[in-house]
Amino acid sequence: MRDLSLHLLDILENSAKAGATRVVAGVSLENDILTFSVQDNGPGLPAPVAADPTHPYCTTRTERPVGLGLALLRAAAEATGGSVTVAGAAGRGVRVEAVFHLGHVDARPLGDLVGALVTAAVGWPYDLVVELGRPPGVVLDMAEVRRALDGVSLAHPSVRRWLEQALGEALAPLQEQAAGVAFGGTR
Amino acid sequence: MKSLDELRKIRDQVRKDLELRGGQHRAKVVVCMGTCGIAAGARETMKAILDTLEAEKVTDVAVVAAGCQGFCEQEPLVEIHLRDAAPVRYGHVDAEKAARIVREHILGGHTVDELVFG
Ligand code: FES
Repeated sequence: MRDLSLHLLDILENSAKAGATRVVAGVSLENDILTFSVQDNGPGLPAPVAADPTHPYCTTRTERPVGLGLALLRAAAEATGGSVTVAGAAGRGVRVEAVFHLGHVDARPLGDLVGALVTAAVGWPYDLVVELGRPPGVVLDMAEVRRALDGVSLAHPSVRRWLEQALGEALAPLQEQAAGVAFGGTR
Repeated sequence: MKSLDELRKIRDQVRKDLELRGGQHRAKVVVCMGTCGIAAGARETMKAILDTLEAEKVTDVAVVAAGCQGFCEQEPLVEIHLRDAAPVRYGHVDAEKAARIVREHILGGHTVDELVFG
């Protein structure tokens, strides 16, 4: 993956595949420590997968292994001195948390976080909730957005623009801070 | 969270537009957003499709994401479903090719043969 926002987009797909109906994505940045978290309400991990979910050959489906994305995420996080934890007993959903040190020489740039979140919000059938900071504040709740739209498609360009604006306003300070703490400054 | 009032206005406007067109979408575009798709640039492909539709003022095309289809080596992968036609699958669709597919296939009605696969 070229940037960190694409990793977030990728783990958000796992929750769609797992059939989750509500997924909370959290983003926070303290000093140069960036944390992504994704908590879904899907079926959780079956026991053998739960033992080592970031193993690249670990899969619960017949196409590309779920574990491929998680293994890539783990590699990207560990390259910065960060880490990835995956928790999810069967029946309790899955929680993925990734920590990156943005100031590390090997950290990829954050990338287009707003674009990644809008793509997931529009693309996947579950209600995405986006939380920012610590303690987390909700900056987008797709359940409310869907209710307000009352059947009008999320994919409509003007709806998409609204989502981009809503998340753009909320995440601009974090994106700016991320650019500032990145190794080598703004890029 | 941003106020939803503006969104409700957008909703009413979209409804009006759709009614003028008989309430039907003319096409559906499916972009694969699996791990391989994302790594190969599917987010940029999707963005190019949406931007081209917006530039052409087309509002009756639905653009949706799909998970892995098992054609990972063809990523980014785009499927065009025109109403009353069999779906057509395109492989290695970067932003530039995506714009071309929107203009020639969706708006022009001609399959872009050299980009088709499968
Ligand atoms: S990830 Fe798209 S076809 Fe496999």
